[in-house]
Amino acid sequence: MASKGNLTLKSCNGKEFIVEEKVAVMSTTIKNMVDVDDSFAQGVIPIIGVDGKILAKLIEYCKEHAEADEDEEVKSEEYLKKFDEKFVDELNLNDLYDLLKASNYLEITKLLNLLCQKVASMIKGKKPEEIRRIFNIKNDFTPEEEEEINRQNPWAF
Amino acid sequence: MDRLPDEILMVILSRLTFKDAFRTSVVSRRWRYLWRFISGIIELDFDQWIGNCHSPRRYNKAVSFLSGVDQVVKLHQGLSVDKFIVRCVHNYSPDRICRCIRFAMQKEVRVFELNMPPFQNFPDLENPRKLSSGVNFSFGMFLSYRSLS
Repeated sequence: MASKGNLTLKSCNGKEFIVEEKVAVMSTTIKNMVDVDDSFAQGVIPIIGVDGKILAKLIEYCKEHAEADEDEEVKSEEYLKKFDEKFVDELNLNDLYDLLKASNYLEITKLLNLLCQKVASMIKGKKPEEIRRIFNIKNDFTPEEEEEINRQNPWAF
Repeated sequence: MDRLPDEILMVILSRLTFKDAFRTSVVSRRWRYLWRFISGIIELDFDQWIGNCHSPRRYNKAVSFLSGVDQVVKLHQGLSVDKFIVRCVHNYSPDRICRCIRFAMQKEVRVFELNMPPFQNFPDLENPRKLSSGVNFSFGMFLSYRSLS
């Protein structure tokens, strides 16, 4: 069991992480759980649908930001910006998707915004076929449908 | 990407220019109608869409662009839009101006800009029924609204 001021988070594949409460409550979902039901603060909080690898990443992110929120001098804005950049740059596509889903579910708004911005920057200025290639999306339009869309929107393409 | 729920894809699209977001509609069936729910900025700027084009085809392109504006106004389904901006130095029909204003009001936009050429034919605003209530209008080369709601 976690000591006072700490919470235990358990991933869907059974990995447990003991984290400081201030780090865990960067997630609004976890904050609400702890606020509403005291037993969560004592026991183990199951994080449904998030595996250990992704949960570790989430905690890494939240830890940096919670510490920065607490003491701006130790971790400046500049430092956080660099941390954020490195954090998203090191992700492969699968981790990016998993983290997007997890930060959405856990309502870690800052991280969700950061990840959405990352995906948006990957789409920006790209042609449809490039977007498909980058994200591995299958073009399931028939050639006729594709032509129809292009015909309907000559101003756009 | 298929693993992500629509709500996340829409947040992502809202972070793109409207042009980039709209163009994702040809990526796949799933993406086709996502742009309709964008809630951020809808900016339809003719020069930005076509690039710098001074050819005789410019007129045709402007006609096609304005029909695109009609489509966006007609098909958008999100409840609200933050900014709605239309810029095209080409005559708008009075009906089209009314549609744009009505759209801006329905979507409770915070910023509305309708940029049109001088000597534009304006809708008959003496007749307020055309527009529904409460818009203060001023004519000029620029028609800018702020805080409609």
